[in-house]
Amino acid sequence: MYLRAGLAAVVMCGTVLATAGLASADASDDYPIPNRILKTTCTVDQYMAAVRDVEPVYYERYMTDYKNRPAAIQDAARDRIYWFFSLDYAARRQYSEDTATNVYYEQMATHWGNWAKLFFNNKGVAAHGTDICMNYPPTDPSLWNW
Amino acid sequence: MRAIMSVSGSALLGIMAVGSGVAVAWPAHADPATDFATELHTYGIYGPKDYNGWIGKITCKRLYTGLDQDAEKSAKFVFTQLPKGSTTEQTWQFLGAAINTYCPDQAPVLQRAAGQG
Repeated sequence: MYLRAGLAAVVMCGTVLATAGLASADASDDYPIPNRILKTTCTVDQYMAAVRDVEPVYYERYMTDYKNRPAAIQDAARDRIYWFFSLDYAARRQYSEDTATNVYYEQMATHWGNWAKLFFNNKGVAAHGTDICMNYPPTDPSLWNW
Repeated sequence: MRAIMSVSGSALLGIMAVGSGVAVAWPAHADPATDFATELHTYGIYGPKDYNGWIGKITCKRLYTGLDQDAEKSAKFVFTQLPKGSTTEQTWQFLGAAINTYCPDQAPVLQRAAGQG
């Protein structure tokens, strides 16, 4: 009886430790990239337009940071986020996993650490943006010229 | 500044007289966000000074770029940024204060809206 309880304790303890070990290394469905971004069917431009209107200070700061980057970095960041949004859920989830487990996976981040801040870094912003992004035109070049 | 200093005294007085309407108590207005916040408080609009200042400036930017083409659209934007439960009246008070503080040249937008009302 005692032996069995002890065994159960050891097993449970082991499970907890193993879970904690996994959590510290792997991505979750909400980290590092918010779930709403993994699942949204909006385009980059739709999402940006929504954030411009509902999280204007966040958008303003991101665009100020963007404008302070060299043209080549701006181009690369734009290309990279359009590429990410072209992926389906499974591929986005894999990308999230890859960036969580390897800090060097995303080369863009070595040139501009906050390159995807508008999209990846804030769950609240992602939620507010994806709530209404479908109401905006799929393409709007003015968003990068704010 | 150097150009102004090189003109004659009487011309300078003239410039100062013209400018005084715009720049009354100029040193006290070094931080427009403070005055803006003070005005908002009289309308019962609180919240972080910096945040409200940002919203005021962005409201102007949206008017300048033509994203918001009239005062109704501006008011809609402002209303979304104010705390839940804010009134329509507070929205228009915020908009008026923002334009007066950060982009007085956009005042005709308000006048047009008032004319339509």
